Amino acid sequence: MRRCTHCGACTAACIRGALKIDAKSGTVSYDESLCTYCNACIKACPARALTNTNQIRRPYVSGERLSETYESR
Amino acid sequence: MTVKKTFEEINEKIRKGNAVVVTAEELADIVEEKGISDATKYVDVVTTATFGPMCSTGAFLNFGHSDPPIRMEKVELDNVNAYAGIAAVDAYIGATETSKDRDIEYGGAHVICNLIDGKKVHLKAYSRGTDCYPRKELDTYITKDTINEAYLFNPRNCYQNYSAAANTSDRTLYTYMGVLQPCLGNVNYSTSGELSPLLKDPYLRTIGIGTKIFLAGAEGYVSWQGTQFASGKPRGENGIPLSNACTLAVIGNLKEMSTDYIQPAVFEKYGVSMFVGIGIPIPVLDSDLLSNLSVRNKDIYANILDYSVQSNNKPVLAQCSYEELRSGYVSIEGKKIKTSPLTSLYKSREIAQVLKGWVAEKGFTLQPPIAAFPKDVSLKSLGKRGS
Ligand code: SF4
Ligand code: SF4
Repeated sequence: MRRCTHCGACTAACIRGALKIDAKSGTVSYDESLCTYCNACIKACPARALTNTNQIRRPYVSGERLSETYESR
Repeated sequence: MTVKKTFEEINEKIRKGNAVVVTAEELADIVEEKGISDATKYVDVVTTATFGPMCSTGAFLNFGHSDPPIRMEKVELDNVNAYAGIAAVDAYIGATETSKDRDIEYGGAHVICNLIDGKKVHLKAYSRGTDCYPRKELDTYITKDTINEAYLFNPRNCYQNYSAAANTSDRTLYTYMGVLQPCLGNVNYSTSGELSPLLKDPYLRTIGIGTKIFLAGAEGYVSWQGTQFASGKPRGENGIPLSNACTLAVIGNLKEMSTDYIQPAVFEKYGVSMFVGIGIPIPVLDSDLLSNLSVRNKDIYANILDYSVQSNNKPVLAQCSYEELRSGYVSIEGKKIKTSPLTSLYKSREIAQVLKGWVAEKGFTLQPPIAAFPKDVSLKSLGKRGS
């Protein structure tokens, strides 16, 4: 499991707008209310920092549950 | 009075610990406050940085000789082929090579990172055997501490600008520029914009052979012009090329690197690449250079290319500034389209800050170029030759 680098590549895969990159801070944020648990972001993450569990299909970043303003470090 | 400073004067200040060092983003604020002339006097060094996927990355390794010795003709590291046609126990592991058993989920980039992290890597080597190198097979484990040299040598990194990507077709495209949604669903862009090294010294006045840089957490060097170096590309009024132009070949000691600043990158349905962190300190030699260094995202432009056209010459859909790309949306023919970066601004900023600390506090002096790079170079291509 690698760490999220806030590259932003996952935001291109998320057509729901649940993953967004903040123009000022350059960090990615997640809004679960918009997430359909399609998991497109998981395959699109070049760092392989996103995963899910079989029970809960919500994406996890670097092993931690995505929160609305996540800092992966 | 025009201000001029030399590398020697700036290095003297760095040695004494009183050089004024700022990042390219911080400089923009200083220039707004003081103006070009006073900022040129005040600032000595500006740090620039990037952390993006750079395919043309790899490492030379020398394993040391076994007893009896082997002349390695074929080398595998964790089931990833390394190029062994160099010398008996030398090999080059390229970041994009994929593994025999795990396909794109594990490649040369992963091997490089495991070596940097001090992990064990499985080495298999094969040979036909000679009188002087009788051994025919070797199966063992190495770490960075058990082998002789291990250095990153990247033939093409640090692109000076890179065109953004979009897709006008009706199917999703999976590319090295990330996922491109159909019907102009998104635009993906690379480079760290106003922090990006070669955008800030557009004519490479201070960057050439021998330039000392931050490479993946260690001290590295520019060793040559990068492959596909194209200094003759059209430039805007501020001297910045509008598309992919100059590149750097860089070198550095893998054993001193940190995976905080270099990581494998796996692109869906494409392959393996590598995020490489590079920082370059640029000396403020005069007000012309300072003007270049203070150019902001709103004045740096990139083309947006249509990746649905399967040709080396992709049509330009639009041109936009990095300020627009960074804002989250660009407009193409009146349509508002979402943008996503591939280069981490977050990590680029971190690298610019770390390098600032090296120069300001740790005596990281600047090396003037030993030789400058050629001007007006244009790219050759294979064109329509071959079948
Ligand atoms: S989750 Fe992955 S794709 Fe998204 S910003 Fe982090 S590293 Fe990049
Ligand atoms: S799983 Fe959620 S966050 Fe990920 S791409 Fe799908 S909608 Fe977006």
